[in-house]
Amino acid sequence: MAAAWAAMVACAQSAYAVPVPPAKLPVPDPITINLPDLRGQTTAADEADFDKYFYFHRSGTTFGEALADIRECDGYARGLASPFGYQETPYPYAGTMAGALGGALGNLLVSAIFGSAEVRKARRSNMRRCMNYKGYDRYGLNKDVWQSFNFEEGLHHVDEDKRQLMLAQQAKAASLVDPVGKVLGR
Amino acid sequence: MSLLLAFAIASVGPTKAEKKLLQPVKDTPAVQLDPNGAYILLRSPAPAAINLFRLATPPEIEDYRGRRWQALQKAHTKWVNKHAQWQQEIATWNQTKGTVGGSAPEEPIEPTDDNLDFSTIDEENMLGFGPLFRFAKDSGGTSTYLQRVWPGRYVLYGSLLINPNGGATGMCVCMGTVAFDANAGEITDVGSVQVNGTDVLIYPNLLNKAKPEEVEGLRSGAITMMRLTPANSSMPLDPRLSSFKTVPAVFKRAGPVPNYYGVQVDRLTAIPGVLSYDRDKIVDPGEVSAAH
Repeated sequence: MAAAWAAMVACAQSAYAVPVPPAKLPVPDPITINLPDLRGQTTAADEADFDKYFYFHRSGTTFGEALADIRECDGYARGLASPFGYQETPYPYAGTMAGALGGALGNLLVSAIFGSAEVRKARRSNMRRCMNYKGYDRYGLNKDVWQSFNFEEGLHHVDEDKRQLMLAQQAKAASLVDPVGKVLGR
Repeated sequence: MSLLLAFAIASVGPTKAEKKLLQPVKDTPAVQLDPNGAYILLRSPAPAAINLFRLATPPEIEDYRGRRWQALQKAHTKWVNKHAQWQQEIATWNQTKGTVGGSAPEEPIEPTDDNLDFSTIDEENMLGFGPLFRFAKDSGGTSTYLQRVWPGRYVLYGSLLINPNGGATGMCVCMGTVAFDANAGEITDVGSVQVNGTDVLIYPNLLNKAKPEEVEGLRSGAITMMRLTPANSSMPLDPRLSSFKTVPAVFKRAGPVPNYYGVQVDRLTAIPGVLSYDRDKIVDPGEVSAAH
């Protein structure tokens, strides 16, 4: 058992390089962000997978607000943290996420044990919980449409540039798109 | 502020010898407590891991910065050697056009303050209560945990099973929680902390097993994975502690706190008179907007 654990640890420590986002991320012009048509029909088979394939939307929200919210939730989900600890004075979480990656690094060990599917599921539920607390609703999508501007994250990390582009696309859907279909539960 | 608490805040934290004293109090017929010690007492309806961290003081943060800087220098020195070795390897690999030795050797990442694998200061100050080392268990199944701690301000963080070699599972109340002071010469009674290891987003069948009066709250997220009931008269104190000064924790709202361990992110269920939310904003109960 100890040997197996050591092997997993060694594997986890050598297999990944965790990218670090810049401290101050730019906010792109939403006009430059392309988004697929989210108004397409969905089937009963699609509906069965709405727990996985969906987009967030909150009316009356600007693109900048939605992007800050999605980046913040993404930061929680991937375990970003400043190394110098929690400060009691209020601070904009999204602007202070860059820093030590204690959670992101440490949890590689857990990822190696529980497997990629569980890690992907954990990310999904973290994003849903976080965005729900921020007042966003969920709307279902066809899997192919979803995959064109979303990512799943399991044992391997998503390239930072690709991640930021997709987060911007998700922010555009969350703010500037008229949602169709029924509101799903959180 | 007591002199002892003032001293604790001005110090760089406990020494190694002092850390050895900061242990759970054992369930023995006669209990001996240090009259100058600070203790935290909390209960749980079922055995559970409950984690708090102590807020670092300015001298501790300075000390941490120094230790972190030293670790970075050490890591960087190692990286310089590894990188030089990699340059030789990649040159050889390029000369052979990749026909020998498989795929190209991966360039070692230069350690920086941003990517250094070094625990955050809050992780260093993290405390675990339970699920083992109970101080008491009553006939109703409630577990009581009592632990000597370093005086200071504590933040309720979550429920974690932390592997000493790195990594953890569990949940944090990163999106909203409470803090309280633990003073020397007192047992600070936190009350009762109820932990659900999961929620309906992870385990939808939870609703089928829930108490009827909790189904809607669990569904909507109003009831979260961690609930705190401040100490009250329905939570009797163990008679073995009667000769020691016990005070109810005075809570203030806290957070958001980073997800240091990359676990499930949640928030503490709202507490009447203590903690409320306006969407994701952590607010005093009196500040809740009527619009939400």
